[in-house]
Amino acid sequence: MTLPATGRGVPTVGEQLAPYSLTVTLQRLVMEAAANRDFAPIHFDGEAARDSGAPSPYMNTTFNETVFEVLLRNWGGLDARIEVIEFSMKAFNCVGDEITAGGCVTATREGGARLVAELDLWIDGPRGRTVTGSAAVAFPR
Amino acid sequence: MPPVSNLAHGTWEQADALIGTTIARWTGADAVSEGDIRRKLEVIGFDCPLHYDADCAREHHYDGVVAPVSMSRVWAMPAYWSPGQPPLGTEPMSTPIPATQIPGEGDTLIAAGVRMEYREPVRPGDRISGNAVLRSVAPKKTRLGPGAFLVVETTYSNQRAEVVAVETVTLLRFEQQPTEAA
Repeated sequence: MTLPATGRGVPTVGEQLAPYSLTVTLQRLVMEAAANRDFAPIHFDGEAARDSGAPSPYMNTTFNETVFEVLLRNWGGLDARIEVIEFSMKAFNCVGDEITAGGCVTATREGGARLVAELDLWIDGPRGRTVTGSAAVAFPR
Repeated sequence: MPPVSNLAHGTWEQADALIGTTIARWTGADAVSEGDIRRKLEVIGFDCPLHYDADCAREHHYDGVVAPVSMSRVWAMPAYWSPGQPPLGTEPMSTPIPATQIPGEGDTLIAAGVRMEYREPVRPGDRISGNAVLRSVAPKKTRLGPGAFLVVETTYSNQRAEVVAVETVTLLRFEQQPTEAA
């Protein structure tokens, strides 16, 4: 993966981000649990997940946040400063799911020496639109 | 599946009394390390050199390697066990986040949403502390069972007292129902 460094161009309202897809595997959930120290059993134990209402172990908050970070970084490049990521989890992203994160620039504004892009974000999977949110990303002028 | 062992039990009235107060103030168990960052990147192959190449990071106006922003809360995570405590048993635990200390009436705690505002980069060597304030408690019967939505705002700071991130998380605490949910 080659990330744009500088000169990616000025974000424009309506611009769609290149989608980012990922298959949720149990191994990834276990690795992610270790990486972010969230060892809640619902994220790796099938029985615990089903008891909580999910069909199988599912992605935690930080993993969803990371998916959005990767989506935004791939789009914004190395000069982008991710200032805000906000989202609601409407349905589970479970083991075996192929998920795709997407985004769209909804507004731009001046922020001192920077241009700040505001975006809508989402994650789609077999259970529909599982996560919806927004972000603010700043670029040097 | 037995209930998790580390949720404070009580009434929603007891939780109401904590609104607006700091429910926890703590420093994470570990300093930020490049190894922690590397193990995060490998989960999905997040190949961003800001997180492993100091020269590249400096070219982009950082003082060196920085952590992914989505790791901001990781190093404020309390330990699951500390020296002097009895060894962990076999009972399941919820993640030892401050919200587990809010008294409530359910046996399960899950996150419904979050807003993260990232202010300062997190760098290897940093020590991250958290200060969590309970903002609201809203009892509600959900499709998962009777419970309440809790909003907790946590300010994460480094050892220089710089705020690195502010997290506003909405959690659902509820009583698991014996029948399978959707």
